[in-house]
Amino acid sequence: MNTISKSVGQGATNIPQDVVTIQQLLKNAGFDPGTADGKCGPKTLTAILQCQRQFLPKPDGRIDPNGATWKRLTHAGSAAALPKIKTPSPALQWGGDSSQWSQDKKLSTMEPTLRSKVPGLLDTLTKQGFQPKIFYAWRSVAVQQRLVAEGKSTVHFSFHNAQLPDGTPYAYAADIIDHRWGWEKAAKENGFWVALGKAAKDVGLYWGGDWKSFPDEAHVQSLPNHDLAKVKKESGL
Amino acid sequence: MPACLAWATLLISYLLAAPSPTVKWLVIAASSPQITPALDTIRTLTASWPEAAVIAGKDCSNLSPDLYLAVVSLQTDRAAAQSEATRLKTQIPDAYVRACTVRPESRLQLGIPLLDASIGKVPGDAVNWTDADRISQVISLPEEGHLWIRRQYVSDAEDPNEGRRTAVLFFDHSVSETHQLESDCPNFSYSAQAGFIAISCARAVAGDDLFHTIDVFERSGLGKIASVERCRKPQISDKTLSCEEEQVGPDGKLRLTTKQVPLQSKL
Repeated sequence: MNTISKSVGQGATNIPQDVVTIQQLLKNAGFDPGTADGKCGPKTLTAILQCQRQFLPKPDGRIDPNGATWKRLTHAGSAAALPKIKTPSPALQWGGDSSQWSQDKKLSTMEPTLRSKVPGLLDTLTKQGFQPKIFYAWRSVAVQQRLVAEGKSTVHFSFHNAQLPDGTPYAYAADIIDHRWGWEKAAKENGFWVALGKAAKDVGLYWGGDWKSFPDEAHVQSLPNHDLAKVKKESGL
Repeated sequence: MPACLAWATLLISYLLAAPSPTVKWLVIAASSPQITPALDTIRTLTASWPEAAVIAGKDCSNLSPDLYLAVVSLQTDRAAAQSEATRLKTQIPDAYVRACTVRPESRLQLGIPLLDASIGKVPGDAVNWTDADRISQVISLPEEGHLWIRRQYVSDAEDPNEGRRTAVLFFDHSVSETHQLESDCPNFSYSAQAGFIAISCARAVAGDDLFHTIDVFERSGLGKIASVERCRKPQISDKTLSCEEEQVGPDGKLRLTTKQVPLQSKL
């Protein structure tokens, strides 16, 4: 009988034997976690997220003993547990203008730490009378390059563009606006940017309004700027 | 006088009157269509050639405009250049000498380095640096004077632009007498007319686009007389600044409307 002693996946304990168990279960269920080597690398994380997207509204990339994902993978002899849904290729699933996606879909493109913090951030702002919404979470590198070519951005790669090596979105940044104002002067006049900055920093996020050399008041991110090169490398770009 | 003879006489008169172009002899260690390889070559040679620098082929009217040259020495005399090349060949066997007809009003003619000294310190793993972020430029203004677009690197690990800076400086004739107009001006553009210089710089991110600020300076004295936020594409005529006012609403799309600002001299 399959068991795991500790959690596996994003931010988890990842005991090698537990990771091997999860890798085998994922493979049985039709996902590709790579070689069952006991290491929770990008391919295994991608497979966990792909698995969770089939039944969880907010995938977190983590499997806990007796948690929902564990039960889903092991119920009735594993392979039968999950419906055989063919996962669309990243290009199809994540194509188009990501600013037009639903709030849930935008949330699902964030890496787990950011994804766990943004809903609370939105709640805090709502309680203060604002009407916050996520404008951008993930955005493709192709879109980013187009913005640069059109003189609309000065960066070729940002935390918005992070992805797993297979192309699955894994954004470390989100742009949050009040849907009545966007970037109009009223957003500042009504105190929205200041409120966003405070709420973001209260939950441990970085706020682009603090960047004196080039402020980005709608922007929050879960990593410091000095991690950008590392994130690009991990994105396989 | 036949027409062709008249033209020939005119041409000869012009050639005699025009100053002869300056020719410099370049001692070249390497050339490349990209900045970074030329800069890497310079780094290996500065101990022996402290004056070594990267020069743009574009600054020489007779050389390929698409090449960057790692130059260890720049001589007015061909023999001196050959002598330097002989010394360089002990380290770089492919080193060579090439004449450069210095383009008037170019960086090379005005004494502006193509690469600021700070550019050599850009980290090797920087993500968003391109050649265009490294190269300084010079612009000759229509009513005399120049703008020096000086691209620099500022070491700050948490800088959202990875330390990229674009300073804008003004000088009349000599780079030894410059006046800084902007310390950092991403997405630089300008307009200069009627004794005014308007500089447009990107100042913030907004949706799918950027917000700009236009600063207007008097050509005489270089005092700032106006600063217009959220406006781009400056045009000056009849003591009026015209620009396109920027608005970005909840849909993230940029909307532009024409704005006019009368300019009042403080002199």
